[in-house]
Amino acid sequence: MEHETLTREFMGLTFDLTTVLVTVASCIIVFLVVFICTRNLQLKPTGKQNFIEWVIDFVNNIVSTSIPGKRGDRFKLLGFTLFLFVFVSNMVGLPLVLVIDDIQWWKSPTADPIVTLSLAMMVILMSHFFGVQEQGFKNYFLNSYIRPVPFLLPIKLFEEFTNTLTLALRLYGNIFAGEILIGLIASLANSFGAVTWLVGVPLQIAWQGFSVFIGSIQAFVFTTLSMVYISHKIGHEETVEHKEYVEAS
Amino acid sequence: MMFNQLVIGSATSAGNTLVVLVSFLILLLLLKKFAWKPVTEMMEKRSETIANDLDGAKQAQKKANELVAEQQNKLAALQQESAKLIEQAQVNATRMEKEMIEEAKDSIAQMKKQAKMDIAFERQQALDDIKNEVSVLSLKIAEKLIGKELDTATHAKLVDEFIERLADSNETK
Repeated sequence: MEHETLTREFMGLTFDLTTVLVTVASCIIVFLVVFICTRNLQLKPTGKQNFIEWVIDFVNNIVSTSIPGKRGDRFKLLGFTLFLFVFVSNMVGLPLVLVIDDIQWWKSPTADPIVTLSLAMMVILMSHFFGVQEQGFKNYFLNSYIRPVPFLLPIKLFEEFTNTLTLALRLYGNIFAGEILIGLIASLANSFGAVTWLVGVPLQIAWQGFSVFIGSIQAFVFTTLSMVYISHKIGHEETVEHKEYVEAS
Repeated sequence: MMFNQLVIGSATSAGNTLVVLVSFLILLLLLKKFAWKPVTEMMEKRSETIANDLDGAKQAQKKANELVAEQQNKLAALQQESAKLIEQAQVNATRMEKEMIEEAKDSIAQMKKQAKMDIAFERQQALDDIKNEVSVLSLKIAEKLIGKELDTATHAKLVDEFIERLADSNETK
């Protein structure tokens, strides 16, 4: 089910125009939805404001589960943006997969491993950055790689790369497989004209419904794991406080 | 093929990565400016307002309870006072009644006494009148009987004795 994509060279870099198009489109959709929902903010919320506050509360809960207290506040916007971007990216490929002359024009950006790997790399790099910022380089290094036992150092270094890969490829695999199946069901439905539509359309409806479910779950998982990785890099003070709290209570 | 793009340094992936990261960052900043800050501020303001309202309600209830207690105390005091006033009034009325009765009795007694004195005086006067009349009459009678004029002083003495006896016999009757 692999199709050619439209590529352009620009300033010595090659850009996959399909990915650029759907990524920017997802960003615009996210921005428009959030922008429209946050007009006319009221102290007593109604309708669309309720919806966006529900989303914010949902993401805030994800963040504060991994990074409790005030320290989690600075990551809430990141979690919010990640969640909405990944969710919308998972969804945009469901109603429409556009292939013209074997060139793919429209799909989910998250069905492209480069997009998911970029996001995962960004999250992992941020986790290291915030780890150094919160604890200083020495403590960051000790807590990340040396403690509790030094001989785990190679495994811990290796883990940084596997984290990135699993975070990205889990999302990519789910969405890419979903789109492949959508394409397969579509070609099945078209294999013998209108007769096979009777089978294909209900099947497609069911699979798209399931894909909505998978896309939501994957957006949730991606955001949750991003916050867990960040909390692993910055969270050592918090565990001390937590222990003290547990002992005190 | 997709997996050619995974190779680090492959010409395709760097550009796409850049696009994804830049567009994500722009989205993040736009959301922060247009949505995140106002919504977060609004949510904080709301939780603050709710907390304040709850505190206010608690205080208002406390105040209301205090007022009710105060009013009840006042009412109880008023009731006590009014009971006291009624009691006082009753005592006063009883006392006044007694006083009036006393006064009436006194004045009746006074009037009786006065009447008795008047009666006694009148009687005395009548007796004196009669005495004079009798003495004059008896003098005249005696003049006629004995034909001689008695000297008035001796005669008065005689009459007095007579009347004394008359009065005594009168009183014993």
